[in-house]
Amino acid sequence: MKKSKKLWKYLVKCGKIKGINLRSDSLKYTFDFKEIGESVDFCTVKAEGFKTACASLSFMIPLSEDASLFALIPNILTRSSMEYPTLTHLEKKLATLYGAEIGVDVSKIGENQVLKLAICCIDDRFALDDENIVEECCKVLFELVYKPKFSEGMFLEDEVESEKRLLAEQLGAEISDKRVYAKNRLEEIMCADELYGINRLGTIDAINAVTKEELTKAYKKLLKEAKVLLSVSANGSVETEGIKKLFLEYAENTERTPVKNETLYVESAEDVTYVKETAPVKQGKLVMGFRLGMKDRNDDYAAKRIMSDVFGGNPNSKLFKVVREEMSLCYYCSSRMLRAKGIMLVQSGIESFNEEKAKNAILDQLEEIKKGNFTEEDLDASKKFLEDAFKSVSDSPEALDSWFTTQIEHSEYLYPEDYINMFKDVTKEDVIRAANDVTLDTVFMLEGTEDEEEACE
Amino acid sequence: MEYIKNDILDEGYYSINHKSGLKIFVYPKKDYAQTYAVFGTKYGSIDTRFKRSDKKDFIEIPEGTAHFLEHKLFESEELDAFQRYAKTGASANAYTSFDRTCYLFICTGHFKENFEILLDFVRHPYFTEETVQKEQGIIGQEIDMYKDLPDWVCLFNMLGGMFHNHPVKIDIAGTKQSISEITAELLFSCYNTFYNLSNMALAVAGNVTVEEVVEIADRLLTTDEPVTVERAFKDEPAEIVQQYVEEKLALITPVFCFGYKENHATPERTIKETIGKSLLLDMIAGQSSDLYKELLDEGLINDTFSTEYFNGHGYAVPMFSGESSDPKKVSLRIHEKIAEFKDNGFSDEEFEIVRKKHYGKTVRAFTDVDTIANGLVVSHFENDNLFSEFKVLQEITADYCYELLKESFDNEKAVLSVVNPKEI
Repeated sequence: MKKSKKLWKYLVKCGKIKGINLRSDSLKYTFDFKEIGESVDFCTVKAEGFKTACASLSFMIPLSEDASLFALIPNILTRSSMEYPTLTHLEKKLATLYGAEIGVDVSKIGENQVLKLAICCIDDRFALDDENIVEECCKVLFELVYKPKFSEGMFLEDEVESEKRLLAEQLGAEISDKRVYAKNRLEEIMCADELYGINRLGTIDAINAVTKEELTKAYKKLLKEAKVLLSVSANGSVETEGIKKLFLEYAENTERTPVKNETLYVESAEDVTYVKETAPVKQGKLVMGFRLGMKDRNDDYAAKRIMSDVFGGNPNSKLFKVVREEMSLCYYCSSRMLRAKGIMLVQSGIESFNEEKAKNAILDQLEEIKKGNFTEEDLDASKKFLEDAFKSVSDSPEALDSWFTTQIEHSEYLYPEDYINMFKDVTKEDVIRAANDVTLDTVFMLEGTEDEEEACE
Repeated sequence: MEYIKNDILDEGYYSINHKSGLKIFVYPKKDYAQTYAVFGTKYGSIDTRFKRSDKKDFIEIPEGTAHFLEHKLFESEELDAFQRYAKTGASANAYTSFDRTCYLFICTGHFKENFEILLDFVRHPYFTEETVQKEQGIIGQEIDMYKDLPDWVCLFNMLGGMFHNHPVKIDIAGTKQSISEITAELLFSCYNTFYNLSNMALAVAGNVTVEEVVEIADRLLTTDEPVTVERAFKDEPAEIVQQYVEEKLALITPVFCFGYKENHATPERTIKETIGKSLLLDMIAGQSSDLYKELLDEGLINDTFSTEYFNGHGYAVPMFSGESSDPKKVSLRIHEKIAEFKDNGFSDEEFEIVRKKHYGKTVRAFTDVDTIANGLVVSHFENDNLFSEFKVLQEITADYCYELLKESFDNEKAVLSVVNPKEI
């Protein structure tokens, strides 16, 4: 999320693999979902005792060559509005709402692009002057989205230019961060003939080419064609019906003809694409992209999820234990399943001259799983790691908001417990079958050209 | 055992002086699914020269030893800690910062087993020359990874331009050269010095009772003969090393860090000073400030821009950082704004806006078990209490902040560090 990057994160060096930060056997919150308009979902999560609240609006549209255009929208909307004509006005308003924070996020869920605007604040009972902080924050969010500041019916030129620069710099920072760059390049190369190959922010050139006319048109298209999700996670005493009414008032004049993409699932790779690039960096980055053999998102999902985890999803996994701990080849080497596209990525940071060794070691570990060379304990460890992580979702409005809003694509709104139950039944045979469905599609290597001598200076 | 509470927040925790010599905190959060435990020692990357109370000489150790020890402590003669946690499902981790090393886990079940693993492996070091050597490859890759990260490099370059001797300027993980000097014997010696329970703290927050924690601690923790450690830093001159530091890396938009070296009579800053300075930094260039908006409109900064009062034992630096096409111009504008504030002060409105913002942030922090547990350990190492920040924010005044402003931000002591794009 924008605005949350704190330097402190860099100062605390966390070793080892990070857990998924994600809930409980006896639900301590109530979740409710209603469709309140054509393809407009309204989710509420309420729990007693939350000290904070979080509300968000998500818009999902088909991923397309216009990705840059749409990616600019959350940014331009959170910059100003009729009510808050400058960023300073908006920031002052947020500060008086006890430092409420607005975050925007652009993501890719399968071959759809999701634009999310969220506001997080403290609960009403901590207000020093009895304000209704949560409702007031939702109002700010709706103002920003539905009453943008226009001049002659369009976004303002200088604001558009400024947001273009900021987004281009954000994309630039993702090119500077070689770990992110290598992952993005792998997706781009592997899915070159699929919409999924499009970066969620588009390209720097496309961002630079955007005009205020196009952006205004895209904004109107978004309100008309996107699937919308309003989510409010707050303390039980917060009046969410009032927030819904308020939202419907803001949205009432928008005409609706929603559209979405059905993501293409490519079941297997025919041969391996290999691409190598160089960069003047010290550490090489190796990324391997695999097809999981899925026809759709539900195709043997649980088995594949557990397989990916046994392979490289936690510190007990094959990749961590062998490639890192036994072979000392890297600091990180892990696998991640992208269910919404039916693929799996392995990422590692290595000495460039160790490329072959690392690649072979990673593929060997996948072979081991295919042959069933892992224990019931390994399987059990993966299930436990996932269960433990999923259960923690219930502890904060932010985590709950994120859990449910990422399910916008199919309005499925499953609880973390539903997943835990799905995983429980997975057997060793299921994992072996899932591993045998895996084919390597693409390897991307970013070779570091900085030599050791310089590195030791 | 003492119960420390805050009525406004409706929060509280137990503070226990355990018979083993360890300080233990338990912060129950009744309705939470998660429990977070952290076991930390006041031993970080800056502790490269020290003396034990029962020895007569100061010793100097290679840079990066604390971090190396953190990595190696997970190992044991039989199952390593990660393999033991694999049976419970907890997410375990550890981190080393400038002034502490902490081992932690977060779980939603099997608290008892997880807590036993934590107390056991942190108390039972196992190192051999062979495993130490193996770790050098892994940490070597970690060092390389950070050397490619512009923000990390930029921060350390600024610290290098500021400090002549203070070890805050060295990379937490050390260098490939320095870690090659680390031996199993050295690790044992550092362990025995710094992992003495009198130099450590343990905090548990979440779905837990004080009785559970105490029962396990009573059973597993043996008593340590208290050892105190005297940190000995070489004298640090008041002056900076150089005003401008530049490096080139493979990146697109230049990254900068701009800070003012402060000199104080005492090594550590109080929580009130830290909050006062943070409020000042926010008034000068925070997101609700006029300067922030101007710089943004002029294309000089983007939303990675942030401010921080970076401080710890023997160092204190109010600083600004982010990405900019013209970092020199940004630093100049910050200079000017500070001069203007020094001359004219700031309005009550400006002060109230940032105070409310920080107050809200502090309230929000009490919802997160991670922040709470780490906060308990840190505040203990700083001889403070977890609710101090909340109290200070209710009482702090604009006049106090103005006094702080007058005595800080010395132009002679400013350092700008820039990482520019490397020509390819």
